[in-house]
Amino acid sequence: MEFKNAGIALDQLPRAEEIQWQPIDPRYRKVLWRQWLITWALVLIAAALLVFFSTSLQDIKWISLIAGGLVLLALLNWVVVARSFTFKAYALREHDIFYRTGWLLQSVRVCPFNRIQHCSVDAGILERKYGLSSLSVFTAGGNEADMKIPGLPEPIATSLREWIIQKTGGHEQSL
Amino acid sequence: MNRVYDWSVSRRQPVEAILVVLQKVIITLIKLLWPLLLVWIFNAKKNESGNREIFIIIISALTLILSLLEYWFFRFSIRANELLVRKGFFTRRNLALPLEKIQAVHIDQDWLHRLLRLSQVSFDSPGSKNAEVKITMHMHSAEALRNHILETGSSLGSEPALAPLTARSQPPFFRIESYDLFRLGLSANHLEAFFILLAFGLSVMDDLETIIGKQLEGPVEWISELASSDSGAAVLLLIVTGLVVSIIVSFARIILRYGNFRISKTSKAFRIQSGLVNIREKLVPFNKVQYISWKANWIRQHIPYYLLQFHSIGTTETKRKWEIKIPVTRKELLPELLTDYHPELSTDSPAIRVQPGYIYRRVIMAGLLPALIIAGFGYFIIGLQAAWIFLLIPYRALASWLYKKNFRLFIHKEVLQVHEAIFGREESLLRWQKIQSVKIRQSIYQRKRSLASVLLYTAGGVIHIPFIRLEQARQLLDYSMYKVESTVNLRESVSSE
Repeated sequence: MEFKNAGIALDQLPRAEEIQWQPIDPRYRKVLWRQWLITWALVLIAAALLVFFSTSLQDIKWISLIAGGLVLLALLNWVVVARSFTFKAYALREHDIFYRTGWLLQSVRVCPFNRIQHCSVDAGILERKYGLSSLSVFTAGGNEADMKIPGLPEPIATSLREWIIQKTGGHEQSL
Repeated sequence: MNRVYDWSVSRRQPVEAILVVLQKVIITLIKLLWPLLLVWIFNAKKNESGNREIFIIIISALTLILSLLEYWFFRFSIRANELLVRKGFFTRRNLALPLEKIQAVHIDQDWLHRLLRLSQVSFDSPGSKNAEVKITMHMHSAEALRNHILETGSSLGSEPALAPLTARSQPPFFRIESYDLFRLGLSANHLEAFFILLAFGLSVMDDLETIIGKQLEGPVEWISELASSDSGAAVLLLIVTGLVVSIIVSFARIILRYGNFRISKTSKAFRIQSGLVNIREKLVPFNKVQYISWKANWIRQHIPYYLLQFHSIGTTETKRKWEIKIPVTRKELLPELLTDYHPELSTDSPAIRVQPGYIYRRVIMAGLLPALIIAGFGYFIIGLQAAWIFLLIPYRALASWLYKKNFRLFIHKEVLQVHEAIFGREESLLRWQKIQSVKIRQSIYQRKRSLASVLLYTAGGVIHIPFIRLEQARQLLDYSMYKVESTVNLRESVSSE
């Protein structure tokens, strides 16, 4: 069944698929790489401690099974992280902001400016090292950010925030 | 009696509220320490050491003192259009809730409140759940505070004040009758009640086992012996007993929840009152409703009875606590409840439907995969009995097929309506302007077949449209953005129309 809508010609509406996507800063891949390294190093340490304290696991079969399984999971995880990085991008239009992410499960999310409650710029330790920040956008009704765009150069993230605040400033903020 | 209240003066809750605090303390203590208390009562004679009693007394006394301190240090006032609350003894907290951000004010009364002529006032606001405020006060003060907050709050915004809030004087346009209660109880999900009871029973037994330190095998052994016996009568007895207990529990839940249920209407809001013992009164301003859903289980859809829900703003926790589902037991009630939002769409109009790929994916992802994993682990614990989990696959296939067959998304220039049905039926009605953001999601399978799922986020919850054609998903996104972005401002999205 076709999607019909009397009165408005759908082909005349602005089309989301025609927007120009801005990729995430390439330095963000290094942040992801270091995050991946730290996470899996911690997991490996935890597994090593488990084997060290559990005598029943101190067997070459168990050790190779655990080590092999963890290495496989870590590699798979890196493939997912690296592939999803290439898809991450954002786009701005006059009235809304888009963000796409994912690899196996890809998603595109759009937030209109006149629904944005507030937005914030955050930077973790690793992001700060590369001069990167994340922009979080909040709408009404949720406690968590509706959209979090990572890997933005700090000046761009700040100016994006200012620009969004300016755009939303034209709208009433209170509910 | 018209009293004048000066809300700018910082005040405590009334003295009677100490009794409410005490009640809370006792309930909290019983919830925390009931296994200990049970053991204490039953083993009173055998008890050799008094340590347990001393422990209970110390804990009770400490909690009591802390609660009284909490009462003493709780103060509230309204200044500069903000509800200011100062509370806490060890951790001082100052909360400021702007009046124009308050979406709804609830008045709650349990038996003790009624006895003391008190009530508890709480608020819905689009903030963090930690900012939740509850104030115990006299009934007349509670009503005055609610009217003051809603009138001041709305007059600060662009809307006209919610002046006609005196619905108390208006007769209810719907009141639930005993006959409706009976039918609601009869058509309730008894299977659900049965499993709730079973889970509760097992959890109580587990707790008791932990406390007593020995296994309570009696009831389990008795049931398994009965079930494994060749006597058909014994099994039948077991089933009938379970069913009867479940029906009694379902009836009790329905009567407690919907006894004394009534709805009245002002020009700006519905006032919903419900509860036989704990009376809850909820004021739902029409303009704060984000979307409306109504659903019926397999039995109720044939009567037809529905439970209708107004989805409004609020933190998830507050929303869940204040969730009042309206039993639609008369045909003419549904249009009446929908009229201030948008009438129900005609089901004859063209609709978007779920694509067949949905069935295969659901069977694999929610049937086959979990069954394989559970059976794999289960085999090591219960052996071949774990194979029963594979029944999940035909169940999932049937449920997905029914869902795909019945799903309809009706589009209108002002609203969209989602019709979902597996064994029961559920309708959701959403105005385009209430959308906060939109997401299009695609798995690898969906990308290969140009399919997508759409999630429409509102301030009252998410509406999920699975497995439609990608082109339709994009059109939905484009049209919703067109409708949302042509709305004048944010206030309109949450509180207009």
